[in-house]
Amino acid sequence: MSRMGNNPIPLEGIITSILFFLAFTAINFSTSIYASRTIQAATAVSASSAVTSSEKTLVGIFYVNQLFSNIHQHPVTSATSLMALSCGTPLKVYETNSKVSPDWSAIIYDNNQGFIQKKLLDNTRPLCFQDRYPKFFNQINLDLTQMYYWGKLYDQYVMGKVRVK
Amino acid sequence: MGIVLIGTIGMTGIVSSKDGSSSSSASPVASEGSGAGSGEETPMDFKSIKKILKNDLLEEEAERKNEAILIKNREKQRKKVAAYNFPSTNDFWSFISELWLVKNAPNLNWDFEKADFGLEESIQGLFEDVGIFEITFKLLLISNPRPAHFSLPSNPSEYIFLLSLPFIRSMDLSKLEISLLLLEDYFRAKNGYFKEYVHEKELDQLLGRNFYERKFKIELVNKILSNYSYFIENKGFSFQQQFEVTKQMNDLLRSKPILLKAYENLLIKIDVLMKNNSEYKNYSKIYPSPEIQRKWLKNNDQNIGIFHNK
Repeated sequence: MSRMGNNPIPLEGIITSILFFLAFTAINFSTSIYASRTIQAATAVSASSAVTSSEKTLVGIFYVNQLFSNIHQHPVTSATSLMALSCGTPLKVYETNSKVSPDWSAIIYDNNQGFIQKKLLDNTRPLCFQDRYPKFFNQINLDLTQMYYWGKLYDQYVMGKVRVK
Repeated sequence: MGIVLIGTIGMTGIVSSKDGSSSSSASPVASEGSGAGSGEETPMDFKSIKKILKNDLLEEEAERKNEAILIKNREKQRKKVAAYNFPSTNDFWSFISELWLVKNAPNLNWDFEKADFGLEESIQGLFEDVGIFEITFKLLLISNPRPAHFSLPSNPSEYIFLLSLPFIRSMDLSKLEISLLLLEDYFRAKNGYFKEYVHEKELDQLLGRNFYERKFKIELVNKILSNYSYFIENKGFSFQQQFEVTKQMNDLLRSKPILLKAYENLLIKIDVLMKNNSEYKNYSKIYPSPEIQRKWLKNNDQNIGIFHNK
């Protein structure tokens, strides 16, 4: 191949164009790789930031204290229930800096963030009905719908205690 | 059968036999799987080599090991039996009541979004005011007109109240009147009328006991649940039971005229509702009868004699 500059002008122009094209393509290619990785990273951050932005510190491990309790998508009883947990299930409870009612706890369970009412949690593992009477409980044979409703029951109760003043 | 002379002073052992059985002089090693249950360790039989163990001062060690195995097996058996415990009276009723609520969720329609009516404070305030302390309550609002209100059995000192939102809205009840209504239900629950009706004889033999190696039929639970439904929807309370509750309310509220007056107003409202709203025409089937209750309140001293002689 003749050295650059020794070719006729039209050919020089063509070669230059080709070179520019190749360079431009290479730059775009590397940029797009970088961009996609950046997007992936950004996505990963935003997915976890839903947790990170709302969690300050890990408060501790708490345990579900009723037969069944529901984790909600948002800290209101009418919010979508993500899952029903049985008594004794350990949950990581996080502090939250968002405008969440003090009656609710932000938790992470099985990589899902959700909210559960504080009154449904204990800081020590309770002695659950299912643990005390396993054979009896198994014979009742609750289905998933009934477990879900049982969790909802504790969302719907207005609970109170009359104490001696 | 093979007999092998083991070259140890004083010991002759039959190492193996055709049928796998061992004689008294056979190897003391425990055979696996020969215990009462799977995974159970069998105590070792050291009698055959007792003399040798004694000489080697291992007899105590062998006894200690045996003891440990026996304790372990006993604990396993205890846990196995304990799994068959039937709920105690304290645990059973709360569970059954909530099971009934769960199974009847679509009928009762308690799973709906509702505002905070401030009933918790109102109920607490009234109960404290009349001197009823150290009880917990769970109030469940339902969006169906029936049952209008009810108290389900639960653990001692705990009360599960059902309250129909349409019922209280149709009379525009105040929080005080609602609390008085639930106070009545508290007395009905405390007197055990409902529990006495839904109870089955078979339950007495199971409550707080163990049904290991006995049969526990789930039909018993289903029967109790159907008793629940029948009483709440059809049977209701008797006149005698209503009189007793009204008397208790009167005795409690007599020293608080404002509360007594509010209770009378409540009975009037219910009476009017029953007579004018077809939805509640069968209210007195369950709670007979607001009109007669009002008469009892007015003439309470005279009417006591009628029922005392019963």
